[in-house]
Amino acid sequence: MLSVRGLTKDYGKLRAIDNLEFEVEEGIVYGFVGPNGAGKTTTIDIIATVLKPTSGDAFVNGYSVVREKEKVKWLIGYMPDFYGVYHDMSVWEYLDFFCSAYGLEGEKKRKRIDELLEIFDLAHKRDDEVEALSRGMRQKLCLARALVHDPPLLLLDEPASGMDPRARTEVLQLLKEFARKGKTIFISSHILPEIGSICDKVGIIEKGKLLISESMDKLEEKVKGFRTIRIEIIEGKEIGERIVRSNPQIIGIREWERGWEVDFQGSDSSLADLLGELVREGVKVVSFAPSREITLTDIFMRITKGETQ
Amino acid sequence: MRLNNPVLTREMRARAKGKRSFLVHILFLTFFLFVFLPIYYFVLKSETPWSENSSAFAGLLFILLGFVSIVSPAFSSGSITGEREQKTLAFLLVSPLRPFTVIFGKVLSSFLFSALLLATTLPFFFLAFTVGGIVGKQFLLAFIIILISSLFFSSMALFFSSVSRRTASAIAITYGIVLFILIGTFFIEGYLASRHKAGGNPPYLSGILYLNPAAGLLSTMTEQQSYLTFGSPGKSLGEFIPYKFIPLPIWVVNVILLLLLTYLLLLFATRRYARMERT
Repeated sequence: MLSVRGLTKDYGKLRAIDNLEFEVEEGIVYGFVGPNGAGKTTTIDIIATVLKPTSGDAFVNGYSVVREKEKVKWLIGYMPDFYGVYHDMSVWEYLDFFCSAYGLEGEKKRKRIDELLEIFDLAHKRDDEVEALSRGMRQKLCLARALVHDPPLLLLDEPASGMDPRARTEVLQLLKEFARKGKTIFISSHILPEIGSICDKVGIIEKGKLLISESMDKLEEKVKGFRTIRIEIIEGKEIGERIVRSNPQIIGIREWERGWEVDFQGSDSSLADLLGELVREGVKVVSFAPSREITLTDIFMRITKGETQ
Repeated sequence: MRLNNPVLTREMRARAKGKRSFLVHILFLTFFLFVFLPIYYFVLKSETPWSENSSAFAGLLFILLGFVSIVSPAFSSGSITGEREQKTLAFLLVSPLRPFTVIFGKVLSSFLFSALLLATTLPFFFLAFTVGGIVGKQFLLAFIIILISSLFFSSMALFFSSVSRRTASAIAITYGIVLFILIGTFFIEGYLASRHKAGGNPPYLSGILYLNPAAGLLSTMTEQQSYLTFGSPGKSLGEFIPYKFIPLPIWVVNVILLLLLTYLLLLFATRRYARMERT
């Protein structure tokens, strides 16, 4: 869905981002984290076509954000970190304007506005002036605006900052729901525990350089040196125990009522072999999944040095 | 260009809802009424034949020109800088709206609002017709010049809004240039004409007044009365035209020049917007 190739941006002598390279697969939530001034907003702005890179390029569904930005604009929904609202506009007028900007007219437009107001729980504020909305509601409205044309990729720069805990939870739930429905979400945030709970993959940036871009499981493995797998079974405990204890790649075992939690140090292929062996030997496995013990905050703290530009 | 311009709709909607536009309408009409009524009363009581009163209401047309030169830049100066200042520019830039759609929507909304203000003065002028205070053709021509001036001033303000970082600087630059065009050009022309008179040369126009819509407006009235006597008392502005080079009345050249400049300003503003980045 999104492919970033050698992206660099200079502001005079300052290099804001330096040769960034990463991939964001379709339908995942990609968390883009880093200290203040690391280059997150610059990266998002370039992908959103509102900033030109000094060199390199990014591709959304194969379209260049530099050379084919008119095509890219239809594929992205963008929510910047700082944004304002138009004065003298009601909530529905605000959405009406952006629906028209994306070519929606008549009944189609009315339906889309109603739908978005419903999704973001703003239907009761329909005729209120945008200026009069609380910050949390404005953020929801801004997110609704980013979705008027139903784009496959959402670029969200600190979407939950400044929201009260309830509004934040609601927005994160909505993002989870969008991801479940197949949207790709590229999100930057400082609130690591919360985005950690919804991210499939994370990129960590510091001083304009991408330190790592991996799936959460792989990140955990890299930081800890192994990954923890939680195995749940309903039958064959003895055989299962024998298999896990004899596996040389398992370096730690914790037993629980319905199975084990094992610290596995090996490739995806050997992990698949372990599951295959359990099933082949008649162990009835109902769940075989990574158990996340380490948080995104832990990962972030271990990988970054806290340096800014 | 889209027929249904979302930017135009939004701007017009916002202007129509805003208290400021209502206030501008009320203040302007009150002021206009205070100027109009004494003139109307004077013409009504005058014993001069109606056909000779045609200049009595001409001053009102200059008030209109002066008004659009204040209002049009004020409505357009924040077109782009305002989006930047209220942090809404990124939304426009990321939308698929074409640069010309945005620029055209902005300038047209400002122009239409000024035109609406001008239209509210029409009943006064129709009243002036009843006492013969104004000639139909002259009025129509003058009104067209004022409308074109409004479009020109709006485009100029929008252009400076697209190149400035702050609305305040866009306003200051635009008003400076408007002042130069409306008043400064007369002074320059007067200075040049007086120098030539001293040297014994015949009165002439340097060409700088072609830029001035007030000069264009004046030239539509020279058939009835002389207004400008720079360097040569008693001569009308029409007589200063260097017919040898441009065999057209000032207002014709003025209108062509203003339309050409409007086009160029909008073109540059569009190009500037197309290269704009979120900062």
